[in-house]
Amino acid sequence: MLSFGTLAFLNPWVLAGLAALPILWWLLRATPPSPRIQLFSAVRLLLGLEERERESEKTPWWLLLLRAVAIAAAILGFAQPVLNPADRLVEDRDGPLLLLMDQGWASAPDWAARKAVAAAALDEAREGGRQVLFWPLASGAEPPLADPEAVRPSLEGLSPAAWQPDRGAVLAALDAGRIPELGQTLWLHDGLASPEAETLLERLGALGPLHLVGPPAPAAALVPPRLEDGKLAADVLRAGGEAEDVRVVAIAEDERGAERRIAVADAGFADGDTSAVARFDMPPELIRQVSRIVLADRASAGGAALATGAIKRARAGIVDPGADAAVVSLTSASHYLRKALAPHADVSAGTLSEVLDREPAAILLADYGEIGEAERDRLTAFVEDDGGLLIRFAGPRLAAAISERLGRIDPQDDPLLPVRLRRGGRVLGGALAWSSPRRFGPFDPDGVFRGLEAPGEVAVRTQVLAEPGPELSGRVWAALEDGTPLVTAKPLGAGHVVLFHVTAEAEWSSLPLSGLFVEMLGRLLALAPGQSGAAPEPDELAGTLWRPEVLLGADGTPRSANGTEEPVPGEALAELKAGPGLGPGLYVRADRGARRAGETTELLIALHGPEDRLSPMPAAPAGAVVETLGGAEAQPVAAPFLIAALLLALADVIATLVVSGRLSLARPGMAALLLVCAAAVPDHANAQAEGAALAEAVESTAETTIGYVRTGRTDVDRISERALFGLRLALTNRTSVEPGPPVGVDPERDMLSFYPVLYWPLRAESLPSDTALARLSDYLSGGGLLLIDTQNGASGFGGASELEMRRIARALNLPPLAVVDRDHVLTRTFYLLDRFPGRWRGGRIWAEAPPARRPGQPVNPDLPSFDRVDDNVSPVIVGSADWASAWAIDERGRFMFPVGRAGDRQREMAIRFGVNLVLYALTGNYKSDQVHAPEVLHRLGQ
Amino acid sequence: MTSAAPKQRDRAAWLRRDAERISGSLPPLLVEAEHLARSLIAGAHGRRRAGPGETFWQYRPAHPGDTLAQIDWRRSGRSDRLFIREMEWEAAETVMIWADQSSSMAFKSDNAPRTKGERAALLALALGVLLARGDERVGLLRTEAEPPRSGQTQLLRMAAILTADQERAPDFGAAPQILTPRVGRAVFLSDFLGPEEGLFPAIAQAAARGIGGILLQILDPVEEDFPFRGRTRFESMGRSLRYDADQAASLREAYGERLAERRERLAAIARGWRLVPHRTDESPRRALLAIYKSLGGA
Repeated sequence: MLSFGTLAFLNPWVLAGLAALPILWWLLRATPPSPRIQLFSAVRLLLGLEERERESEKTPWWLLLLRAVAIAAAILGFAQPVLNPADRLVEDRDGPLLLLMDQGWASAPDWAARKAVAAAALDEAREGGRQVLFWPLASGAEPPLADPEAVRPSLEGLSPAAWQPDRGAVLAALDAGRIPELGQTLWLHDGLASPEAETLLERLGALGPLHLVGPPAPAAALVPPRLEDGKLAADVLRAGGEAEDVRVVAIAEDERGAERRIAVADAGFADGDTSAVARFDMPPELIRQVSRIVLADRASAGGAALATGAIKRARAGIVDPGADAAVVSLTSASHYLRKALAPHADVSAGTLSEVLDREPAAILLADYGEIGEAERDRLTAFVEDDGGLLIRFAGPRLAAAISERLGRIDPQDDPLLPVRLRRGGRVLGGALAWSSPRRFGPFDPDGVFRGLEAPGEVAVRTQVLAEPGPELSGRVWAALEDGTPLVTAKPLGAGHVVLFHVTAEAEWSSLPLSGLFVEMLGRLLALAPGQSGAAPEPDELAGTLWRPEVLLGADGTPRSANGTEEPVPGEALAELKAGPGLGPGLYVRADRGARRAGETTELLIALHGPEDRLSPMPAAPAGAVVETLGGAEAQPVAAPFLIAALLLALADVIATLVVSGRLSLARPGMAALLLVCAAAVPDHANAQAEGAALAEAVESTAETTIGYVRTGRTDVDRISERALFGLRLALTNRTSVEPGPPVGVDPERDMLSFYPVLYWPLRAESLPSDTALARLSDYLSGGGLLLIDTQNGASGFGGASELEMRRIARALNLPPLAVVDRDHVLTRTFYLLDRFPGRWRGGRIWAEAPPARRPGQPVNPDLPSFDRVDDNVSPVIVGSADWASAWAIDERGRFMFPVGRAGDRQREMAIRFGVNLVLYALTGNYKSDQVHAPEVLHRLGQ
Repeated sequence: MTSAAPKQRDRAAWLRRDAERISGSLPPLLVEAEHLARSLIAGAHGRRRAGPGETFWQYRPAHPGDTLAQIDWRRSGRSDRLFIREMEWEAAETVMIWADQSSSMAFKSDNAPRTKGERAALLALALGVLLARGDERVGLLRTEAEPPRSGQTQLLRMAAILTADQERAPDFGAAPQILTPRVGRAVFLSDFLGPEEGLFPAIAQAAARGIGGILLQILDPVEEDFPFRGRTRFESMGRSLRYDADQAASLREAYGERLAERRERLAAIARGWRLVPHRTDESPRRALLAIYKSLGGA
């Protein structure tokens, strides 16, 4: 193999033919194109004539060049050029190979590629007959020298850890001299620096030849989300690089534990930035449902963060002096508040000091009059220092307190009221008043309550009034239609004080009766500090035990620990940072030691805190070979060369004919023919596009029509078309679905929304463009169903390269996929199926994943797991069984391809799968409702 | 550039015609020639004076000295005078025809309906038919039918000769010398593209003997238009001559001049003869009419 940079030749000796090109040139030049022989009786008359335009006897230079290029292209083609040839990882040297593998979270996104490289290195070491010191850096053990075959199984079983690789262990072994004389070191690193990285690189470089394989770009990381001005925000960390947008996805869990993506946000990195903030624009009500955030791309433990604590439901305390603890009153302020707060916060009630003891994020004072001295100090500290949220409501007691206080204390000095209040309120409407109850004015479009809509029936009858003042207008958050302040607020220290100028019950206004009240409180609670408790001091943790509740896997997916994990001593959690042996996740207090009131019982352990920064791997020492992981796959490129040679040869034929006068470009017919050849495709497409689109639309919507995505490859498209004809026949014969003739669609141009199902043979050689993907994504979000068939018999996305598939999946905005098991409704929409063969057997098919189970959520074994998906149809079915070949019939109705062995009914099963698929697309999960039929019958029986 | 298939078809056609000839019917060429000739009969003219002939010319009153046998009794019965029926004088003349059947005449371009040789044969036979009607004597030069005779037998003989396969025909035709005495006229049907020494002496000699005649130059359209382009090697039908041209199109004018020059020289050599150019894509009737007119009008 001969290689030039990214291009190599498998048959380099063929290139010697290039040396013959000058000879060829000379030969061709000496031989003009042979003349046309024309029988002609009157030759005698020509004899002796001299041509006026005597042309050289030689071949014209451009024709020569054409031929030379054609032959050069042929030679290059036959030399079998390969783009991005795979290099040897292991040099031919004696001595054992030290194979280091960073096994941390940052290796998780491209773990498969890393394993492949490591396996290749082991193979090469085996061929070279060398021993290997295979050291996965998160294993925690120091490996012995071994034969490559011996370590191969351990490589196969290796998976990345959810924490950083332990590079210090290698350094320690080096220091202790436990590493033997090395032939070569190969380090599959994750591209991120660690404190020991630089020293380790130097030491390894000094030991012998060093080969570094790193990712094209190191993985990015996420810091646990926080609230910023009521918005969910998360820091994204990366090790530097060009300007880019990193997409972050917020995932929520509903009551049933189903996970869904509720928002995405982009963190915009400028060139060279190492951190950026992704701010989610979503209502506060939704923020509280967010269970975790993940990076949309390159999932890893570092690129995922559990959203507990900081943004979890705030704790709110209600203090209602008017409530009678013994009687549950459905008209009391505390009842209204409790109901209104329930969607947003965990609510408790009690006296002010009791509530303060519980360290809530927000305290709601319903018509609280004079606040005692001690409580006033605590409350002030709660707001100023802890950033707490104090929401007060007016009422007779507050009004009385104001009147009483006038003259004694300057009300301006009362820090726990946002504005000065006038003595006495105003009463609107009523028997003795001319005025009528006032309605809400529009909310400030930039204020806290932006976007809320006040229902017309919400009216205010009585309220306390704010003393006009210069600072008043800045503190009004909501006002009546006449501009009277109704909700005022002011920041106080780190927190806020908010006053509703009406009561919390329906006495003074009908606000607490309306849904607006709930929404307003929700908005206000977003201002509350989410921190349910301050991080415990290290000495507080001493002697405690903590058990992981939810742990993040190396790939960033949470899994419930179910109490099976060993408890961790509190001292290890002091840093609140994950590390070797301590995975990121949610830890709960496990010991039965005494607990102080308000002491936190949950700890969120993350890989990265807000102050952390990622930095790239230090520069390799001189002499080290640096390679990029994966890179591009080796790609044979002989075909383009050979095609070029062929085309040039054709051009040569035409040119020769023109030169020898046997073909005249001046002839209109010929010129037209050439033009048509040159412009056939676009002209054809443009000219007919509009009319055909309309006709096609009419045709496609007249009947249920199944479509297939045209790949541009004639053979594949024909099989797709014939396959859908076969499926159409089966559907018409067996079911009440009688589809029209199948239609091939070009996702870039055609309307896709007419087709309930699109069959898409996804071949590596005909990947769709971005436009096409965007349109397919629209199709899916519009309720379409895409059957993606890689047609190669391998499971999953083996057809396209992994990178391309990731691009496709991302562009299509695909939900997480899972293997379709026997629970899936696809197995019973028409036929009862337990496998889905096409032309290939044994492959699995994938559909939208069932929701992940929430830890501790009870499982109803009667319900199939896929039925716990919401009532939606999976937008994609992905498989590789090449159903098209199994369904395809020719024009006479005979099957085009042999499928399976005689008698094993594989084709029948393939057709049944097709029938099930179409019915799945048309009827959704209707069949899965049959699960409930016994229950329904039972109830009917009553 | 006759491709193989049409040639094969032609052969088959000829073969069929041969078969018909053997079976005793009229040779197809003769049929065709008669058909062609018949279209001209109406316009054919006699000597326009009374004389020995078959065609009625006029009635004239009988004069003393006329034999009784000359009297047309039917006409005389209608009046009191005696009439004599006079026939148009039709003097038998000897016309020698040369139909060039050399390989050069076998040329046919793509757009031409027939080869030049076929056209020559057709015209020769049609002329023979016309002349035979007039009881004139016809001979086909340089063939078995050379001795001039009149009548159907001679026509059949001519037809047989003209449709016979040509074997080892020379590349170009040379004009034959007319050795037959008392020849009134001669019609030479050829492309006259052969070497001058083969053509001119015989024609000049015939002209010098006082034989009037017609030179019908039958050319293929391409031989007159010269539509060739690009690198071309021109070869004569017998491959005896060749000429390489790089830009055939540039030769067109010069060729046209050469052709005109050849015609002038032909006309100059054959004093008193008429040179009639004819293209194979034209209707043969025109040529036949031209020949027949100039024969009759002489």
